[in-house]
Amino acid sequence: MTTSRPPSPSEKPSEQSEQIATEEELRQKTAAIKEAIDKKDVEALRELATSRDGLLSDDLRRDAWPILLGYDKDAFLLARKEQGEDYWKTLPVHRDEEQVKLDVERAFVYYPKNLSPMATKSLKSQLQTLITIILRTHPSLNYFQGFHDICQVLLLVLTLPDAIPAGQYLSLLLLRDFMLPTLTPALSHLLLIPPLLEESDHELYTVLRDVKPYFALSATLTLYSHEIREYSHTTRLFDSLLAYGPGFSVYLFIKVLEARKPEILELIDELGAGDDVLGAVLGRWKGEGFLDLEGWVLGAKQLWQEHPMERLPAFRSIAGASVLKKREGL
Amino acid sequence: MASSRNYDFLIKLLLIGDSGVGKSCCLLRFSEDSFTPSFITTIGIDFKIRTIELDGKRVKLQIWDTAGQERFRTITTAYYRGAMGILLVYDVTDERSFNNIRTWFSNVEQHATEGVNKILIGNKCDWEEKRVVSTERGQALADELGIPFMEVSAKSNINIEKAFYSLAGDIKKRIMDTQRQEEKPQPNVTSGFGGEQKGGCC
Repeated sequence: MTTSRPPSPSEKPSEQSEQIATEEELRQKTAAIKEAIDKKDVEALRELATSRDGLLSDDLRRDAWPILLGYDKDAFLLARKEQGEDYWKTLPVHRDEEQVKLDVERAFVYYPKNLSPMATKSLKSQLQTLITIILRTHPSLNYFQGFHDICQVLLLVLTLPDAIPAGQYLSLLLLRDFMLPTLTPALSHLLLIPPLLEESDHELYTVLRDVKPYFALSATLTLYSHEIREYSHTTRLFDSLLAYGPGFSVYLFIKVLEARKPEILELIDELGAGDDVLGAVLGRWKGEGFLDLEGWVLGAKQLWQEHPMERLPAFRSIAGASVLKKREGL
Repeated sequence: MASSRNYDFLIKLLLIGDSGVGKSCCLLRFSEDSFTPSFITTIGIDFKIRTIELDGKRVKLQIWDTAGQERFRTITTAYYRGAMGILLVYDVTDERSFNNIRTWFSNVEQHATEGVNKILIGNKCDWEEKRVVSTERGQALADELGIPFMEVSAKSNINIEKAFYSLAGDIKKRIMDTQRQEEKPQPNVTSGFGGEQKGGCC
């Protein structure tokens, strides 16, 4: 397992010093996050979640994520108490539960580290419960492979039962395009990639023009949780994705592509653009080793502000009910 | 870039079948001779390469691995056309995955190049106490579909090499037969192997 390492001098030395926050800065930021949580100040939390190091710790995330997602944690817990913890067991079985079992069996591979077989078994059972509750309470949602990766993160950060409303809100507000009967609406999000890349890095846009942007599917579909192998990196990206909401994962992907630019240009030299192999190699990206997360989030934020998706011609082909057009909460 | 080719044939293979039957594990066993019980799901599509030798020729196998969940077929069926050989995989401990082979087969009929070589693969054959699909039923289905059949185990490394080699061998033979036919002066070549040799996804 590769862990994050500090950047070597060849990797953006000018940003290295900026990446290490001082204790005083951390204290200040922690205080600011706590204050925003107390005031339920969504705008302030959005800013804090996308500035350096995001929401800092899982302790803070447990209170901040519900606010970003727009639900009242205490109200949920109260309702759950009244309904009874096991009420979901009486709901009709969801058609995708068998598929969920197959994927849950393959969860918790990269983290938590050094988990005993007993503990892994318990987490898998909790993950199965979490996903089952989400699906049974919203039977029109369709499960997709990779949803289990997202729920795995929710479970580890928020634990049960708090992960339940988070999963429900996330599904309805951020992921619902991906949970329709077909994959087509999810693929339509990827149509934003070429025009954004054209704005952001014209050289990359030119060389990738003939490659269908499906290589971004796994990363955007799973909010990077299928690709990123380090838990703290995934939660950091979740901060920014919950803060900016639908579409931000696509903007983030532009920055991932730019970070991989030397590798991509070399590949094209070797394979030629347009080859299906190139698309698969681009999609094979595994987020491990040093990842410039802060640079990506900052860059994606700038791109988002300078080129809002509404102004891209490709936006017109997005369905009216899409999370990208009909934004609620997030 | 003009690089010297280090192979005589390039053969594109495709693994399909229900989620969890062990497609990625079969591929990992064949390409890297390893096995891991903690495998993550395949989202979308991926591939691995292994060059083998067949009758003194170097054959580069480009093997495409696909997500098993039905909703990903929008993406994965685009790769059927470029495939010269298809491995239809089920899990001998999972009745449903076996029953779904017919659906996978008709997908192949619908989307793949005519004449594409196929093989039916029953994985996890080492797991006798959990087996629900007998070898005989596997063989009967293969006979009915008119394709070769093999039971394998990625975990215990049983028949994996044999399955890929036998499929690759059939394809190489078909390609050479086709080429031989094409070299003849008369133009009425009816073999299905033709158009999609470059195998693009679009």
